[in-house]
Amino acid sequence: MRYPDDEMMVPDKRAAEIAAISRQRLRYWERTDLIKPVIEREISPRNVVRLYSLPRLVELVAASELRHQGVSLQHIRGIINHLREQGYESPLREVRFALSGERVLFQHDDGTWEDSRRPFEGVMWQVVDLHAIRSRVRGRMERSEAHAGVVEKRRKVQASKPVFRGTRVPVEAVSGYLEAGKTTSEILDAFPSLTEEDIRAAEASSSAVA
Amino acid sequence: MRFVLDEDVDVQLVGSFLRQRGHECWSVVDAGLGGADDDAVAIYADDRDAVLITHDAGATRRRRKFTFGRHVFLKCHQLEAVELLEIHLDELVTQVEHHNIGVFELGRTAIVFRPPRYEID
Repeated sequence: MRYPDDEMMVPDKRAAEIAAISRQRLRYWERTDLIKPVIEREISPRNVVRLYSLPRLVELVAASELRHQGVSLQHIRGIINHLREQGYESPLREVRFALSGERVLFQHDDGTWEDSRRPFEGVMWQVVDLHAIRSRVRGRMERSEAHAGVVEKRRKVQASKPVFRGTRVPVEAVSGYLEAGKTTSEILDAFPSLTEEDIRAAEASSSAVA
Repeated sequence: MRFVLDEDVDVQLVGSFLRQRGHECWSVVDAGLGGADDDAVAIYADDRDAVLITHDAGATRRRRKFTFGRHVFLKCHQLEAVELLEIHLDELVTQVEHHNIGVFELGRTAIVFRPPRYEID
């Protein structure tokens, strides 16, 4: 089951990966109030958890892609503010805009331009396709296929016991299902983020121990 | 009551059981937090005003040290979780309603409530 966009969140490290930017840039955008996490909580002075919701991830990817196209941060700020003013209750499919000096001008749904200005002889307008970005973000939030069948240990996950990469599922949990005679299908229903390759990896590790 | 199931909880068995008992529940995978660390998962659940259910002993130790929100530790294998919840769910709900912060350890014989360390010190 999928939850509404506002309920879906990822930590800052994943947010940076999804937006294809460095964590330093993510922090810079946060410090300069461009795009901030929806939750920021200090657990200890050296451990602050930051979570970005799906709408924030859409903003991050849009900002990242615009930056790659050479759009200035000042203009990006104007575009992000425009997105927020539209609200996310009825999400826009796309934003059409043109850069005019220091300003960003937006096209209305009926094709007219902001401030009734006649645009832009010689000025190129651009499109941010939010629908496509949102689909990409949803796709990137899924566990990577390259992680299937890989076992690893990670700090602050299952006390560093072996887990399947990209998940919080310990290998020993799946081994217990296999010992109890559960089928692959039953195990995948229990832990939907796993794949058949993960279960084969658990079988291999159980037989290696035996 | 609202429950968030950690990724190591059997969503099929435990999710169905809790919904049948009239509770709302969803998993950290539904929320996009698959693979996230203990702190991120716990903070998400607390922010959503939900009780986190986990089998992760390490996460439970961390929550006893840095406590926020309500955290239920199922001290059993995943296949025994529903059996344990059948025994303790009503009592657990009562206890969770009484304490708005802390760790609840569900063993076969009892629920042990662990208040935040700063309340003990």
